[in-house]
Amino acid sequence: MQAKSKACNTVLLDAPYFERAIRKSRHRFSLPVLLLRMAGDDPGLRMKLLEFVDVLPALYSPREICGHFTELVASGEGTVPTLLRLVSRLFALPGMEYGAARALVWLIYEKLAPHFMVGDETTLASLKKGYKKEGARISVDFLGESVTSEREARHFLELYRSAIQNGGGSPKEPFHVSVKLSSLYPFFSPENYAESKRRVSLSLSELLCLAEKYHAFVTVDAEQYAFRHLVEDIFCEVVSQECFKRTELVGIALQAYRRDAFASAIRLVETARTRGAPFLIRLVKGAYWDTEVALAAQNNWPVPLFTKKEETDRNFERVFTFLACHWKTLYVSPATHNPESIAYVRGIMDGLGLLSDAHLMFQVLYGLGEPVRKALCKEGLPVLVYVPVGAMAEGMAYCARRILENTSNDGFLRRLLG
Amino acid sequence: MPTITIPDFTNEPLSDFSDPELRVWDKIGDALHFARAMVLGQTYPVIAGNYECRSNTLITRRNPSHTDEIIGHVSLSRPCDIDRGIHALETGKTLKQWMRASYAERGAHLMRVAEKFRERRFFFVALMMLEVGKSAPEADAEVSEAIDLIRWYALYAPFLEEFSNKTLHSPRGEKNSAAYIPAHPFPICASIQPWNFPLAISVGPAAAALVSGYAVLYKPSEQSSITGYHIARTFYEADIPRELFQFFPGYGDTGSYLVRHPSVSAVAFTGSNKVRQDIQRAIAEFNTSGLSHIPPRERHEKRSLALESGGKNAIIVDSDADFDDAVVGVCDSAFGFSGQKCSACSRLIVVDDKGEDGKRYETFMKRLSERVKSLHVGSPEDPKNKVGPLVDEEAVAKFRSYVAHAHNEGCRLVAEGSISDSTERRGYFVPPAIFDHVGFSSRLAQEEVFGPLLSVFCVSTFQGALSLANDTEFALTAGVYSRSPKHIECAKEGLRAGNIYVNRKITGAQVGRQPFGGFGMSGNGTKAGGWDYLLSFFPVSKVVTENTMRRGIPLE
Repeated sequence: MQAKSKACNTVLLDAPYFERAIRKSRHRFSLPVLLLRMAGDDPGLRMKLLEFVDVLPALYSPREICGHFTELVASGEGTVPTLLRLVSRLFALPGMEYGAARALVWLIYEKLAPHFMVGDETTLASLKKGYKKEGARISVDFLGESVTSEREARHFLELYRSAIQNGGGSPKEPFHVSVKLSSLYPFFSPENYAESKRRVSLSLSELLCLAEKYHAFVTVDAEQYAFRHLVEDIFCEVVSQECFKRTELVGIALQAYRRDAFASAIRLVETARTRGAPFLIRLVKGAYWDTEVALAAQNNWPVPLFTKKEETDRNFERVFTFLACHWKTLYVSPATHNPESIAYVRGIMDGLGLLSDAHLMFQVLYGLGEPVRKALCKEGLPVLVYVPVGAMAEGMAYCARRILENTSNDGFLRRLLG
Repeated sequence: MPTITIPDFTNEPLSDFSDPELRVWDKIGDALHFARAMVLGQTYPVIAGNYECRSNTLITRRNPSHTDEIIGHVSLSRPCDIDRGIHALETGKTLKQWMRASYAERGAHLMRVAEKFRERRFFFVALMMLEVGKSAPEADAEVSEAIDLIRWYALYAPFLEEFSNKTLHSPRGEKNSAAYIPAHPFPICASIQPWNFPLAISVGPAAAALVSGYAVLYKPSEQSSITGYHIARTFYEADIPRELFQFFPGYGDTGSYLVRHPSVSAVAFTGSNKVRQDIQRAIAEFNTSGLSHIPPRERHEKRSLALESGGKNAIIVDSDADFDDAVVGVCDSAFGFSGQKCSACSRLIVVDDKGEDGKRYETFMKRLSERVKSLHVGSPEDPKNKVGPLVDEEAVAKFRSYVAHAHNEGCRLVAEGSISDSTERRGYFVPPAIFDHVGFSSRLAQEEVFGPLLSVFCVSTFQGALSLANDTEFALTAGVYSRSPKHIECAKEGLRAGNIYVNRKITGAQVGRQPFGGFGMSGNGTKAGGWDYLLSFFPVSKVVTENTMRRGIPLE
């Protein structure tokens, strides 16, 4: 007990140090950061810019691209829009349209998007190599259009299948892949509980079978709040099946911003205990905050999430401590960019004597989490980088959505840009 | 200027299916079981005030998903039943007391009705699933809508009276007041309502009429007579006197008799365009030649309070639309409740200039077709079925005739939902279908089908899409999926429809948020679920001006 409280003290001392480390490794002068920071001063313009990024993949001709740029970005008031308006006037000159559109596409696809996602296999491979040198590994997440039909669900299943087969996992170093259950069935919803569960359990079982053969580590992603029970029910049922009872290469994400996250944590510990083998929980804070708050208001339901950032942070710590205390029944992997939370996790793990445990793994997002990753790697802590992968055109929409979601006042992008 | 506080309103929440502790599906299952054990197969009377009339001719309702199952039988109203009910109103005290009560009193009474419906949420969900084949989530949303409508009218009617009074200007020496008074010594409203929203569209106009001082003679569509009976029962259990809410099940001739009855002073109707025009003709006839038989001091014009009919609603998918959203939104709007909503999307207009590397039309249609092919058709009791049955055999025949017509006209069947033979035989099921190569003036482009049939057009410019969207006699709902601010502005401005939806589905209007109603051949412009709806229900306003000066000195 004494040792634990001592550890907690070092935690508080550690946080600012860690934050400094993160700041140091932040690349201040990269073009996208500069661009976003410029827009960050003007919330209206920021949204417009992101709206433009969102619509870009749907545009083909130079005229459309320039037209939307003018309509969206250069229509506001203030110095930046005025500047942009001047630029957009140039677009209207004969012969300029083509070049201007090319430049915009280059800026967004080549400079901004790669900051958040990876577009092709070769980049992914070289990324993997680079990370390996520094002691970090990657986890692949597939971006794509949302699944609206059986055909698209089959396509996604095939995508996961081939990724697992060609992931190059080995018994020592498994290949990490994240799976969104809603992409396995087009009518995945709690209203359609039984069929959603039946269909998705089948697909997930199939993927776990393959994963066992090819040494892949499958993590079930957390999605919208409405899906929480469906996702957890499917996960718990599948991993408790006779054939998967012993596999440890499987995990599920848990969102700490949910008010009922602790109840889920208890349930997951119970499931792990009953099946007799540990699995992994990726503890995240949650990425759908703005969506959930808006939806709750529209449905006249109570907001099911913590509305203040600090509350989420406290809950993250609470749930993490609880799960860490059940180490070996299951494992928990902290996925956060918050230096305070990371310092807390370190303190707890240190106190429990688990800081050098082989199963401990910090998780960060590709791009946005880069400064945190570098700081962690420097400390010699194991890091898993969550890399969104997809064709630029398909992934951009998702990418923009991700940025849009996180540009609210509480969003981590804003804090990252400082 | 006196201050006026606007009452706060919050919508009745929908059931949260995602929370296992609420056990929504269990409750629906229990309600279905209860309905099957206790309610199904009974014979229901006509309720003409305190008289329950049973006739030998019955309307038999069958479960449209399972035609072997009989939901119940309802006695057909005879003209003498209606006369009897009206006579009771004209001779009894109930209506007199009701029309003399204040708006606030009547509003408070209706709040109790809303409470009763809240208690019976899952019973009505089950009943609608069984009688008209509505899916559970949609039926659940409809119960919320019904509760909202009652509460909205009960809340805003007293407010509007206060508003009209307080906004009157009274200078020194002059006292002005206004009151909404009954337009008729016996304000009686015939409310003739459809089966597609058997609860909400029945309850809404009834609540507006009751709060305005009318007695309601309610005729549900014959296809939703059983739900109609239980609506009447729920009103009585909230202490609304039977005379004030009378139940007259029947076919078109019952409606016609009600509308033409000289004692009926007002009509509210939702249904087909043809019947709407019939009603208007009947009202005009009564007001021009029918009045001469009535003593001068009893002469009152028959009023049409709300007359709402169909739509031929379009969604425009712009070339820069988010296809992820649009595919799902179009599909929900067109095929939700098998397209049997007046707000349903029945025309899809895709903008594609067929530029060098465009192919947007093909891309969008491919994704849409794949979704339609993925839609399961079957009983709403199994939630995996996304498309339920049509309401009856006649609706199936009508749908089939439109499909045959489409083939004859050379339209191309782009995609069709899948349906198993055994399902099809069991109930009134048809596969949802999408056609393109449809002529602009074809019946598929102009007439309301009221089934899961979507006609698709490809146009090269957004302006062309707007003009095509407006090219019908209806003006109910319209939608646009676009990410160009300019185009969205144009659509808001240029679309001719009562309710316009941008970047979302075009069905599912909510009380207080999307007051709902169309113009053109879609209705007389009333907006259900908005405060101005009440104004069309309010009787005449009597304004009194009193000179309060005596010998040049104000008596104040």
